Parts: sequence; C-alpha cells; structure tokens
Amino acid sequence: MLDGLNPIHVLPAGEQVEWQEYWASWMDKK
Amino acid sequence: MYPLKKGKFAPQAHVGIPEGTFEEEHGRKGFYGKSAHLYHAHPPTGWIRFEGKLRPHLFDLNKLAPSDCRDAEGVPVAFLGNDDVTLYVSRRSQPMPFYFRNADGDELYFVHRGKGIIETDFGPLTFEPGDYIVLPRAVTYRVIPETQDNFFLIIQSRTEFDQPDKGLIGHHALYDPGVITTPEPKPNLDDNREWEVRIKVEDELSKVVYPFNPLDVVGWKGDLTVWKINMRDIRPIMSHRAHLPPSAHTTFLTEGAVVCSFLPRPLEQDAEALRVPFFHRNTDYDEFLFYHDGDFSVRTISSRDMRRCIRAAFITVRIRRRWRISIIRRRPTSMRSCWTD
Repeated sequence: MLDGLNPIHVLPAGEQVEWQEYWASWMDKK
Repeated sequence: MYPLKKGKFAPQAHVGIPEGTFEEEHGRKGFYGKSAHLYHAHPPTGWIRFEGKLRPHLFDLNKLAPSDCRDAEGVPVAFLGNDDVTLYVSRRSQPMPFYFRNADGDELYFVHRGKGIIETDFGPLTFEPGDYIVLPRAVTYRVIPETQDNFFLIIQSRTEFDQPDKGLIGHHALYDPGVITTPEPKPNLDDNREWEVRIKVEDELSKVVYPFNPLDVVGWKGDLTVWKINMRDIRPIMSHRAHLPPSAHTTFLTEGAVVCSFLPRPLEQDAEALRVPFFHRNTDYDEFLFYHDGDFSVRTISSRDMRRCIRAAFITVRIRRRWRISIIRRRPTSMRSCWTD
C-alpha cells in the first residue's frame, strides 16, 4: 500500500514473490 | 500562478540542467498538471535506508503459480489491486473447457508469451506475444492456447479502456488506427453439447449452462467490441532535443489508470537535453512497470554509460491515486536484432 487516498494493495500472491530488499539495490555501490 | 524562479534553475524543463544538480519534476495529474522542477545537489534516489510501505517493490511474477497453469478449470491469480484496477497473471496452458464473462470490469490482456485463439461473442481473434487484447465488460470468451508456456498479464478495470486523445500530433501518431484488429463473426452452430458460462461478479462465480454453444452470434454491429493491437505496431514519438514525459507513450486510458508502452527508440542527443534517468514525483499516480523484452533498466542507467537507444519494450500502468510499483524482467540480448536493424 503506497498511498492514503485510493491505496493499491499488494495482494497475498504478490507478497509471496516480492524481493523485500529491492529498495537497497537502488543504492550506489561503493 | 505565473511560474516562479528561485535560486539555481534551468530556464526550460529538461534542458541545460545546471552543473552539479539533479532535476526532479514534482507534478500533478500525471504530467498534465501544475509542476515544479527541483534542482537537487544529490540524486533523489540516493538513499541509504528506506523504511515503511512507500519503498519501491519488485516482484518476480515468473514465480507466481496461477491455478490455470496446470488445470484447465483453473483461474488467473491477482497480485495487486485497488478500487480502480486489479492486476492478474494467467499462465493458461490448456484450452478453457468453459466460457467466461467478467461482470466486475473490463479486461486488457497483454500477451507476454504464447500463441493461440481467443473465442468471443464477436468472433475469434488469434493472439501472439506483444498483443494487447481489449475485452469489454461482460463479453463472453474462451482462451484456447496453442502453446504450453504462456504468460498473460491481465488488467481488470472498473471503467472501460479508451484510446488517448492524440491532439496536435494527429490520429495517425503512435499507431494508425488501421492496425487495429476486430473479430469477424464465427458462430459455433454445430456444437451439440452443453456449455457452461462462468460469470464473475464481486469476485464470485455464477454458472449458467446452455444446451448449445452460447457463441452463436451470426452478426453484430456497433462501436463496442473486442479489439487488439500488437506492441510492434506502436511507433513511439520522440524528440532528440527534449525529454518527453511518460504520458507521451500512452496507449490506453481508463477513469482510474493509464497504460503506456515504451518501445525501442533513440534517446535524446542534443548536448543540453536531459538524459535518463528522469527523476520525478508523479504525485497523483503510482506506477507499475512490466518488462516485456530488452535490456533497459530505468534506475541503473546513467549519463556515463547511457546508450543512444532504449533497447527494450515495456509497458507501464499508471494508476490514478498514487502507486508506483516496478516489475523488471531482463533478457539481455534479446533486442539486439532490433537495435542492429
């Protein structure tokens, strides 16, 4: 869920195939 | 309000970005509304920690296991949704032994992999990779794949899928309506068996059984029908001097979402033009990216290693009311022939 007005929900099937640490892959590699 | 200018800024958006800054567009209404350009000293995605629901998401949809993958009686699986749209994956590998009618919404099938036929009230359509197939609400249909390894992204919308207004660039831009395919009537009149129609409403199925094939339409007229277009027939507009916003790649509109197709194309070449990445806060929409083919990566490409062409085909679904979800599927060399050509 990314918004408070008409939120999109990650449904259970989506949760099962999500890469939880994806956000970290955006960081610059040192 | 007359546009204000404060501090260090570029006279035009996306052109001549001040040295040492990163332009970010903060905009409303999906690139049509009010906007401001913020000139940051650091990349807006240069975070070192990210906590909470707003983080970017990535899903490996190849790992989803919809029941229609192995069972002809099975159904697609939903993985994202809000009040306006629900996104499903279908991996149907066998012909449906029943007909289906979706009373919950209009459907847009995107064929990522697979070939076959889809029978509808209006007649059959063949399908192949890259096809968008528009199925208005409550059309009766049946998917008959010819291949085993199939992958369909299905977007179910509360409101119908329309084509965008092409405005100043004219109605032949993006794709000529002449490439749209509509079905010819082909009634199944000699099918002497019972057929079940499963009707979905509020995510529950009702079943209607006929002693004949319900696809018995011998003719039709009107402006509401099933239709399809293939992604290869979409010819993106471009500018070598200015970055064009994602809205320039719109293929379908609903009241709550926008579907865009991003295809191989040259990137901006003007010395002053903004290169990707295009940092933006598309504040009235959230974005979902589905990578169909190619090797383009929105977030890793930089001016240092940028190539002069986007060698990829992907679609985005911009959903009004703010969500941004990315799905990436890379096939590193698959678009090489396209680039060479």
